[in-house]
Amino acid sequence: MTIEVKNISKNFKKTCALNGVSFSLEPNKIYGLLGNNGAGKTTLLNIITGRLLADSGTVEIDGESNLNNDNALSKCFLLSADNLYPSDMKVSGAYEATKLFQPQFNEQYARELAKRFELPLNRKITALSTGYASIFRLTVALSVGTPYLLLDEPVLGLDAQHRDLFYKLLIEKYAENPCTIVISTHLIGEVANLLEQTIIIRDGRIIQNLPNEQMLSGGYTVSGPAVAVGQFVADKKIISQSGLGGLLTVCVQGTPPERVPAGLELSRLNLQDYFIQLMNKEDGQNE
Amino acid sequence: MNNSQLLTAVKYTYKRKLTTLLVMSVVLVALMAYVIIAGSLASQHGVHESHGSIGALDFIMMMGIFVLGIVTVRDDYRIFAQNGLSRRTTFRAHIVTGILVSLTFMAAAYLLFLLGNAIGAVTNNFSVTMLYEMMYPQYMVSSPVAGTVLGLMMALCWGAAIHYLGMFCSLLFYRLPRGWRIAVAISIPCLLFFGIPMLSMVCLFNLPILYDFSYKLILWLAASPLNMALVAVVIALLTEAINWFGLVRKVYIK
Repeated sequence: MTIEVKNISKNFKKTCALNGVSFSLEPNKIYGLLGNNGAGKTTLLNIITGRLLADSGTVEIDGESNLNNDNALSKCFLLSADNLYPSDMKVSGAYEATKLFQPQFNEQYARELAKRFELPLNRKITALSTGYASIFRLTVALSVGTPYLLLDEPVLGLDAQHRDLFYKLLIEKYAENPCTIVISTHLIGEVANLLEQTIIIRDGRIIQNLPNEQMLSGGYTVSGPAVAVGQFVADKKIISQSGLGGLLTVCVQGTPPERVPAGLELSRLNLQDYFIQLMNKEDGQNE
Repeated sequence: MNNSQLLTAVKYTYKRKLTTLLVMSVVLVALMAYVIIAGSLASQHGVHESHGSIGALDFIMMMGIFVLGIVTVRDDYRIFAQNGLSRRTTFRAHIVTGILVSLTFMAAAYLLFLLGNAIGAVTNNFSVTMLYEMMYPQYMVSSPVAGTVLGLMMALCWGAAIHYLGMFCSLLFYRLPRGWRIAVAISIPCLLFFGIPMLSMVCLFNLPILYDFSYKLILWLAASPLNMALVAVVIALLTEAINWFGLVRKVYIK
């Protein structure tokens, strides 16, 4: 029960979107797919689900190639920003159509979710606002019941309350019916606690693919009064820093010291800071 | 290949297209009713003797089938991709649906034809004709049953071919870059209204062999509905080959 992506490359005219990408997705694990704009995240997800063909390389879903293979493709559901439903289709019609093709789709649950999110069932999908269009896609994704759920910018246009509700529902769903979930998003801070492993992609190449525990063990965060923090990090390698009034928070590379100076607070490095540091490092290497 | 998914795809596409058939049938029945009632009223009031007719009912249905091919193909690829169906299954579903839609539309056309003429026989002021009746009157006189069967077979083949042609037009428009779309939109009418007539004139005066060939081809087509059906089958096969190899097999579904 894995998705094996082997040496995938894709070019759009002169632009190289993916360059020899290989990785595998293990069963019942939540992955983060992170990268800057134009890194190749959406292209990769589209290739896995067969919407786009790679120039070279293969994708195997549970040991079967995804090329023109309904059996393999029907195991993946991709939630993307693109609306692939007919322009005249209403929300309830889309649920019915999904039920037709995905017999395991829990239509009743989707309708319950729609009610919770106050999504109008009799409205055309194309007439929904950006936020409600996202909610519609989320209600389908949370109810579809496929072994692989790929979420590309799932909370696009959603307000904070609805984003919070979605994350809670996603965890509930995962707890009840574990499946492999890939979340591609720029809102790293919001999903960081959900992720077990993170794949970081840049310029069409995977530059990091590690369990979060291992990825974040290489640094820590120190916060406190600006002067004290400044003195503490003077001889240390700083990943990033931010200040508010007289307080300063600094992400430091390395292992945290056993003794912490008075007035300072040490905590785990967070995924967003790690990502920023990695991107900055890559920028430096490219320059 | 997952046959259950193919069956589901056929059901879905066919069901969506049946709605259009229903609308077309209602419009045609309303049109018939209008012609019959208006004709009867005119006769009763002694305005004048009136006889209305609807010609080439099967051809009208073919136009509907063509439009259906244009408007539905892209939607189908997109919703099927969203639900884990491969483009090959979608393509196969379209081949099957094309035949089913043509069969249903032609059956509906024939039923309307029978209904219209049955009413026309009572009111004596209305008639409905089919395209094959107009094209092959000799068959209808010598052997009406065989003529009807062959005519309907011809209409069925052309219906499917035209459905695939509609899909081709839509897919081509979808695949072409914007500049090419404009070029095609301008060049096709130019070709139809100026290019082909001019080419015909040139052939007539300068290439008698080609002219003779065209003349013989027309005679061959006019000889039997089966010949026309055969041409439709060839067009259908060619169109679907282009649709798959040129337009669909590698398309980015978005």
